[in-house]
Amino acid sequence: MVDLKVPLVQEIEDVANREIPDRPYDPERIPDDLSKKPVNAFLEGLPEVSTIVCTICDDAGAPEADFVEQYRKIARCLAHGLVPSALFRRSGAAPSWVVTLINIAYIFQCTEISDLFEVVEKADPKDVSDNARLRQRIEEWTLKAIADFFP
Amino acid sequence: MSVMTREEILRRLESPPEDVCALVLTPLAYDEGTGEPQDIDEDSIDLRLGTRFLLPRVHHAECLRYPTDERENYFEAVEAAEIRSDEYITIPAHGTVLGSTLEYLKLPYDLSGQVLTRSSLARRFITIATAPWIHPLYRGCLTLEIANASNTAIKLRPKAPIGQLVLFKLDDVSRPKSDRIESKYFGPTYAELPM
Repeated sequence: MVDLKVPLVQEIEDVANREIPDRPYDPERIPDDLSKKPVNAFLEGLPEVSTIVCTICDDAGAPEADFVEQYRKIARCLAHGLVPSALFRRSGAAPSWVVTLINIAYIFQCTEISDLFEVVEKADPKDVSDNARLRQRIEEWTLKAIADFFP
Repeated sequence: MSVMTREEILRRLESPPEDVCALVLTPLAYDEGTGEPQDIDEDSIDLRLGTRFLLPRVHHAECLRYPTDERENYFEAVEAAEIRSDEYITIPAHGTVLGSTLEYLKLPYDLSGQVLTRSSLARRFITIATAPWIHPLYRGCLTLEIANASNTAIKLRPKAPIGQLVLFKLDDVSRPKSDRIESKYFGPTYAELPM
């Protein structure tokens, strides 16, 4: 069995366990390299994980291709406060996997939520409750899209 | 102000969803033969009942004060319920529940909407909307105040046609640069407590 990049796992654990300062949340005060570490670690480990999964599961490449193909379309919907199923109904192309939708929504939430803040007046990216509310909305829109697509 | 026709509604549905001119409506049922949406009438859009509800319950407080009471106080006055699409929600005689449309929608910058009770329901003493006006660029499922004015309980099933949305074209509104809107009641997928 291939070694699953123990140092990367360690890095993610370090970030998860870091001390949370007792002051208002301010994303600009988090050093850039620290905030990007978990995503970079994930992306670095991804090809290796993908290879392992492909050796175990038949047709494991399909969800990955689905993700790449659908990402921009779904992210565009989420960035405008829309349930992503709207898009697929018009184009006639639905995602093949529920997992694709969940993964895209999660990555959007991690990396592009600032686009959503752009369309919501008086929502402040530095405000914890605004952040929590919009992240919850992304979850709700994703669940709604799943309910619409896979009843 | 003029009422939007089926043809105009279909044209707006074809615009890219992020466009300020786009009308978004999901889920829509499509006719297999023509490929066109089934829920669009000549001058309105059929709306169906969703699966999540807020039911009133007996509250220990003497009353709730509007608008001064904290939002948290309302939590004790309602009970959330979610049902499957093959189950029924029961509305007791003279009772009211908050529900929502199955459809999630976004209105263009130059359209307003009005929700009307379907006449077949109205004839059963049900009204579905007491705050039925929808503003341009609104997005979300629509909250419905479903009131049973009859002396008999009624059971409603999700996905049942429950209302009609009439869209009005506004005259002389300037096109905004983006679809930015206020955050209050932004993007709900089910009935929510007052903010």
